[in-house]
Amino acid sequence: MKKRILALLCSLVFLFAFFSMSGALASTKMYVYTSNGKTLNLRDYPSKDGNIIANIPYGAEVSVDTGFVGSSWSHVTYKNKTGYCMNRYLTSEKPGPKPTTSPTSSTTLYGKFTNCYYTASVRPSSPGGFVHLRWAPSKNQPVQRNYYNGDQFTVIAQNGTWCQVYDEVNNISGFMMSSFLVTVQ
Amino acid sequence: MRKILALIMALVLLSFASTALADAVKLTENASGFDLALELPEGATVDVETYGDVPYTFITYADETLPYIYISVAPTEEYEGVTLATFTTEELDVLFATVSADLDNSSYQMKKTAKGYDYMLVEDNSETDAAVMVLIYEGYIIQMTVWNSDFDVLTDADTSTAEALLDTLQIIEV
Repeated sequence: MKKRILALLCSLVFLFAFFSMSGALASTKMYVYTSNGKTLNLRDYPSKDGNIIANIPYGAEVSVDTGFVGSSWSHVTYKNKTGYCMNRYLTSEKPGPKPTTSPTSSTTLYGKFTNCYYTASVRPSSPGGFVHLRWAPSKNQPVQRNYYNGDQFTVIAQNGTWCQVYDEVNNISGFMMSSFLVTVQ
Repeated sequence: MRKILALIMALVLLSFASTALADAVKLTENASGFDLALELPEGATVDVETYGDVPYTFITYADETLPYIYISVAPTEEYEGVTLATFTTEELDVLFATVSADLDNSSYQMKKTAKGYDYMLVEDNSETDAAVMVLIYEGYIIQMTVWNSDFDVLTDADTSTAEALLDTLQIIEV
């Protein structure tokens, strides 16, 4: 009897460990977002030299292997095809309609900020671009300095369009458009 | 491995470039399969910083009244296998919207460098002034950005300084 209970306990422990590991190697849902609304290449190797094995439409849901850590590439499954996509074209929130040809208009939203506290990194609109840190939350406000791909901040307030961020390295605070920030997991 | 060696070579070249009087200097080199060369004015220095695998080469003129400039070379999946010369007006408008997303009151015009490369010049016409020059080559976006100290309004002369530098750009297949 004791042996059976022991075997049952061992089985439970094994199952618990298995599901824990499955969780560690889990995948997460993400969506394709390209600034020109075109398809995203799925490649067989995490490099521009990799062969293209599928074209993933704008807005399509993909499964991202969270166990694969790459600074520029993610391990992705789309419709039973597995390969690699560039990180900058994946977003955790389902994107809206394809981008329009009109540039983003100026906004002057000073109110409705709510406090928050999380880390975000900069993702400029163009891959080798920059993002301005401004004195106030509007595109017509003066710029404090430029930030580049991957620079990190603490976001301390947000209103949907703008984030108030704190740069611990340079000890300055200002405002940046939320569309150029990606939450750091 | 060859790519890493190529990058190290580029950095070594750049370290020499920062001390020497400038001739034609390889400004940046990554896994792109091509090199870029610019003719730097005398006394100009360069400093390469990498952000998220994208090398940004910052160019500082000896004359402090001249603007700040950087040039970056970043892979893009959105513009694989296309050149600016074949873009439709709508495609140009989308590229402009992307490049100018953080600018206020901006406009663009299509131009060609002295060596014949097509580029889009995006100018911000507000007090938060900056200008961006974009080339697309073999699935890479080559972007030159110019701005003034303290983000003072760019004059036409400032933009011309950057465009004169871009005129010397040479893309060398490796």
